[in-house]
Amino acid sequence: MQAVTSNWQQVYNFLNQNMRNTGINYKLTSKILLASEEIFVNIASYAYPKSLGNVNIKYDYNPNDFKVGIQFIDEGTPFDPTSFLNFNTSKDISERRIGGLGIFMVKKTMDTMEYFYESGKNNLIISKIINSEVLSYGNK
Amino acid sequence: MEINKIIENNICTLEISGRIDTQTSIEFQKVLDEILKASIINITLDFKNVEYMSSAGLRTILYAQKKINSMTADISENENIIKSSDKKDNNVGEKTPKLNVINVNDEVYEVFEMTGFTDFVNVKK
Repeated sequence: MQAVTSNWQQVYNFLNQNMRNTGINYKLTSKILLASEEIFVNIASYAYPKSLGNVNIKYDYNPNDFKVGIQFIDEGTPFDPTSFLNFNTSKDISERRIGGLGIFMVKKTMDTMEYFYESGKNNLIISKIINSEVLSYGNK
Repeated sequence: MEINKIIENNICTLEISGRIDTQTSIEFQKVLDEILKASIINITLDFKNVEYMSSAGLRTILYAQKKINSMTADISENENIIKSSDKKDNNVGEKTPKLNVINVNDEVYEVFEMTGFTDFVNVKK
């Protein structure tokens, strides 16, 4: 799909439906959606500064490794968000800056965040360990 | 996302429902801007029906709180000029109203907490 912020609703529906099918509870679904939105918006905002481009999003759940993973692939400007400095949450409001908040939230909400650049493509995979507790009841 | 605006005695309550994300936060900011332009700085955001908020929502809240701070600082400065006050301990910070966010669900509260927003905005579950 095209990497534009107006497509977030489509991504939201795709991921929400997949997590619902997996049986992931509302609390964890919210966290994963939160992290996914930050990454998607980042790609939509910065990956293609001069033209429109695409982003592919893959959802993967393997019950054998108890992990849900979401992969974002784009052909935009190489950018490794895992190398981004930590966001300082103790700063006073007057010193607060807008940038970096999203990536910080991804790091806080997900268990792993892996990045690699291959064949002209940014690959970012975020994953979360799934235990039986989060699969024990239905979504809202 | 839907926003119901209630203004009484120069105090505004926004009852918000739905999701505050990268798309809906544009409308959220627009509504807050209108209120601030009317010089209303006592604002409560009722999140009873907010199910999800991303950093886009946080940015809007940060933006509004910063505006309130600068508006309060301007008012205090003008008062000081008029009164020619000789008070040395005049603390603008104490006069600055914080945004109140009430009826926040556990998931959204966690977003406020992990980002340190609970330090400068009143957030209540």
